[in-house]
Amino acid sequence: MNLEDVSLSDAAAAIRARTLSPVEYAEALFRVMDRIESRLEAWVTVDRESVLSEARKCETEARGGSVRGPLHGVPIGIKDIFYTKGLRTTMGSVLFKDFLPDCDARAVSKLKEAGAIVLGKTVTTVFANLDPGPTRNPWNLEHTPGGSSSGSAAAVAARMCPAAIGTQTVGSVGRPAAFCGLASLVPAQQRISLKHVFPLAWSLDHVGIFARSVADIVLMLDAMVERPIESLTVSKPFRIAVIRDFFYEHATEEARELNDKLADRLASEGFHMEETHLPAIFDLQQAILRTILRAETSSIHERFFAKHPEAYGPKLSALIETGMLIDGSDYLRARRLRRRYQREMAKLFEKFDVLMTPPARGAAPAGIAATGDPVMNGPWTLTDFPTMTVPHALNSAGLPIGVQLTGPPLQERLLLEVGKAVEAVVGFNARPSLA
Amino acid sequence: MNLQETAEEKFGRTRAEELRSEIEQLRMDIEKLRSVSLEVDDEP
Repeated sequence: MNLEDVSLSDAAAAIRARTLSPVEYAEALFRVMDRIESRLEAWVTVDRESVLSEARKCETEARGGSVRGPLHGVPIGIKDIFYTKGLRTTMGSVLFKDFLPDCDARAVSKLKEAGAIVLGKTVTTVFANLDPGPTRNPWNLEHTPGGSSSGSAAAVAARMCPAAIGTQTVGSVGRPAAFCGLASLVPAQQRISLKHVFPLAWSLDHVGIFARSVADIVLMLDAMVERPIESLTVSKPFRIAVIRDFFYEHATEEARELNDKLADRLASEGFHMEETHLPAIFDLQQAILRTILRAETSSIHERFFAKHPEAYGPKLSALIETGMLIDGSDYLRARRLRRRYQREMAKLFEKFDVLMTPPARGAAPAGIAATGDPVMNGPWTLTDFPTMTVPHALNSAGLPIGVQLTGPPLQERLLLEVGKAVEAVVGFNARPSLA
Repeated sequence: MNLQETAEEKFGRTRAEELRSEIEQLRMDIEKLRSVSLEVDDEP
């Protein structure tokens, strides 16, 4: 097996066992970058000297029997809206093209404490909204990798790093993970700190994780959480609710068929699969989400936008300007209704462990002028329930299709257990031709 | 509530016209949210 194909968990274990050199591992990832990055454009900044210097330190420490943590010596990709001390952080915007933070984002600090090496900064759409960057999808360069965490998803799928972090405000992790054939997790907002992550909308922003297996997601999550997440004893068979309703109205016929096929397969493997329906309040979710997003984004960008409107893309400009039209009382109403929405949606778990929906309308759309529609992810971001994706099929064009699994409030362990079980059944092992 | 007029005052007629469909969506969203009655315990 080539070094770039080694999973995060295996690489970390091999470095601890001193059978893998962090320096050789980093150099192998650089060779992949040399081969494909000019076509993929997943990275904004990679400081190779700094990466190799850190890898040498990790190697020396490992040889001496000392490791910093469970990610010792493993290079990780960081979305370019997380502050990285002394490493350029652009937010995908010309306004920050030369910005050198004097501190790390809290999530980055946690990764470093666990021994990870910052491999580089991955492309984000402009300020993590919908105006795209240059990144292409490693499964087919003519297609979008999704966004806003475009570079993180593309880099992990293309074997340029074993894992990466991103953020999700509406659908910026689940959608690119699905388009790039990756496992991903967006835990509850309180699990991973957003300190020194440039915000898009404070109350909706979440840190998310991309990797090539659920086990690797677990390793990353445990490295970044503010407090350990308690383990659960889960009784089997897992009870999975299949939700069609709104999600099938927005999915392509092919995506619906593949989702149904997966549900049938899981049923045949012993999962308890049953269709359930969304509560009436679901009808409000898009209005709540858009109102909060517009108002908060507008407030965040008001000052920059007034001075430099030319630096903003058309989608973010429209979001900010319409946000300026929202009264405080309407914003507060949206926040209050969000809480009611969360309470009503949580009742779906009275009969189920996990909810299953498609993570995108279908496979990655053609073209890179847009990053696809986050319509399938927004409803779960608004709930703040932990949500993950697992790849399970290729469509007729050879592009990956994932499934979106949502767990009860703060039940990341349960969700990840189910995710592992689903992953084991589907056995997805396809890889992009570019990788 | 005439958001289109407010937009014209804030951004000028040309820009407000460019934003017309977005403003219309915002208007519908707000109307929808206002149609729901809130209770005291619906805290933000």
